[in-house]
Amino acid sequence: MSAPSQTTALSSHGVADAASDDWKRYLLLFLIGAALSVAQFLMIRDFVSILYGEEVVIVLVTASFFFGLSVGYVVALRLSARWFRRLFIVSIFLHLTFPFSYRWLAAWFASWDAGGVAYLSLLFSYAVIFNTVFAMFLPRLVSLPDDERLSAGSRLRRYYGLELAGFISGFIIIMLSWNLHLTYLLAPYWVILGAVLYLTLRRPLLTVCYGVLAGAAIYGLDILDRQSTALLYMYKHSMTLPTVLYSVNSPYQKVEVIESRSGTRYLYLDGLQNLNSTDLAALNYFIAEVPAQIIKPRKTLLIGNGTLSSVAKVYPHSGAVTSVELDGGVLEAGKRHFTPIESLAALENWQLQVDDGKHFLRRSQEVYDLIIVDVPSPLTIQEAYLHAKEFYALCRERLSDGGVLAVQLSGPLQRNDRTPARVTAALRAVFPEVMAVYSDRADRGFAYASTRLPFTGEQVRATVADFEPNLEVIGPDQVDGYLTEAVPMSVNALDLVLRRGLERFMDRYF
Amino acid sequence: MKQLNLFATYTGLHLAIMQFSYFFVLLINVTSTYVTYATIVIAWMVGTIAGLMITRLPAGAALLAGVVSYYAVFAWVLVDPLAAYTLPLAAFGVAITGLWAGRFFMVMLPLFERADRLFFHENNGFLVGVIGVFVGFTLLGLAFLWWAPVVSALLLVLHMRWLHTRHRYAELRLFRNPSLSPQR
Repeated sequence: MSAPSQTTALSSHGVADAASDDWKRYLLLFLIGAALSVAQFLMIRDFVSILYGEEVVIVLVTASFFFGLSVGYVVALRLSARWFRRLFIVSIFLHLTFPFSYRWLAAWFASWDAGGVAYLSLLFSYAVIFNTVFAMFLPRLVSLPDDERLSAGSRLRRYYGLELAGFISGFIIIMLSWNLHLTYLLAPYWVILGAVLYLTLRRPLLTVCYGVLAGAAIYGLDILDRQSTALLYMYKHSMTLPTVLYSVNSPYQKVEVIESRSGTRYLYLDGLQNLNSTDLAALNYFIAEVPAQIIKPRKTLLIGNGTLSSVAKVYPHSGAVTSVELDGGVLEAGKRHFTPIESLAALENWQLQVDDGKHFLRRSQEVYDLIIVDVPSPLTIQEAYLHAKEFYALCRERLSDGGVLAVQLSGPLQRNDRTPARVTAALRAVFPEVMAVYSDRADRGFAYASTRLPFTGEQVRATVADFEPNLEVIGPDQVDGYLTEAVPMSVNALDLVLRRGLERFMDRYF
Repeated sequence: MKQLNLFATYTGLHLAIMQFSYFFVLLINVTSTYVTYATIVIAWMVGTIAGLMITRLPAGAALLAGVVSYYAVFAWVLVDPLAAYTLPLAAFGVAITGLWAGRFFMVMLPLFERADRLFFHENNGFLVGVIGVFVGFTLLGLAFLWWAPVVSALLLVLHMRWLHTRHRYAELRLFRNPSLSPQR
């Protein structure tokens, strides 16, 4: 258990001398690649969730990851072997505090109302802790002066090739952990780091210490995960005594269900509130139940609505209902905490497809009388596409004559170029008739679009009279008057994602 | 050396443009399921590994083959986005584009002599590219996906040509492989 001698176990670059054991060096680079892959995923997902997941934030966090790598490349050959070892040991042990330590710090910053500089410092500091040491390995090993058997080019080819192969393996580990508890990702990650620690320093005692701490961290992972997430929601989202009911990384986003002390349940996607159980009833009422109740569709298509909460609202009025949701993680959250699957099991004419909405529409040969698009506000490029005229054109192709498309507008339709007007303009670019309503109870606007709307504003008001007597309705003949400043959302006009994202980010932190 | 640093940075930028342009092209025209993302990531890595291994691939050929396959994939997804073999075909195209990401390091290492500087500048370019693609695509839309890869590649080829003629870097010949020193 004694520390290996400087001459036999450590090269002048601080990485264990594996000259006689090429396979150990190869294995080390492979594991570094896997670790980098998982680190990238963990860091981007968690920090996007902490800072709230607009596309602007996703890009910022991704850029910070590459910043961490650049720092690693800058110092890779400048550090002495001793400093490299010290930094390496500190970094590896700090990895055992992920993701809790930065959640605690973010919650602490929120508790004293820290500004954007504090959060950005946190992000970039952790980017360095996450990646810098890993980025140092490849240049150090390629530049080894003590490996006479291979040219630098050959070393680069082998080492970088193995690091990339490791990166692919790390990506496979990530894919296997999707929609599962964090343990399924962190446990293999920490095992990989343990192997990297041993292969780099060959210090059994240190590796055993690391293993014991990693084991303890895995044992307490569930509690630590829930506690640190709850703290974040308590301080950063200003919730009173939140309980974390569900938290997974889906292939697309971080999916969390949080319950407040009053019993209200919230669905958060990448840290952005998607809906809560109080508003959900009003949202479902206007986007699904009202049009279904009036037109009595033979076939209804629900795109999005991962909580499946609209199904029971439209089903009594429809001959058949098809739900299409992309994210299995959101579906699972919906089944467990918003719409028990038993309540849908008896619906014989309902089917669920896990698919991308536009992909489904392109492949489908069916014609629907009602298509409901219940997706988050256009704050990322993927979400924005589902509010663009190209997507609405796909919907129109699958609508029957006089069929209706129902969407939510995120806010009230006004004469400006904000989200509701841009989305309505996109609808108007595709459909001859668009009606907009604004509900105080739902705290948002909705639009109904068709080639020939089968109902009038008066019919809508009469239908909702008991639910909301003073519903604001903007009829098809009035809508264009609200769109004079609005450019339709389209693949060629997604500037809203950038503009709105920046506005929200600056408002929130600066 | 400044010119080489700039070339490495610019290559990083170009690689980011190519990788993310593939992503948006497939996302818009085929599907935005995780399969698309996984296809691009894995195919890119496989292409990069192949680029590291294939020693007789001239620099310019690797770069231009990547751009040509991007437009071939783009054209294909417009023609038949729903075919069962669209994604495998796209994966092949992405891998071809990834060749330059690997070949670049092999070509440039002898010129840089130090791997740290080479990776540093390439990575900085990639970082700028990540931001640039997001801003470019949100502001310009499809025009960005149509023009950015070819413009970026042409500028890179011109830079490569200039480096070769002005500084006599044999490694940066466009279509002839430099005489490689025996590899140990």
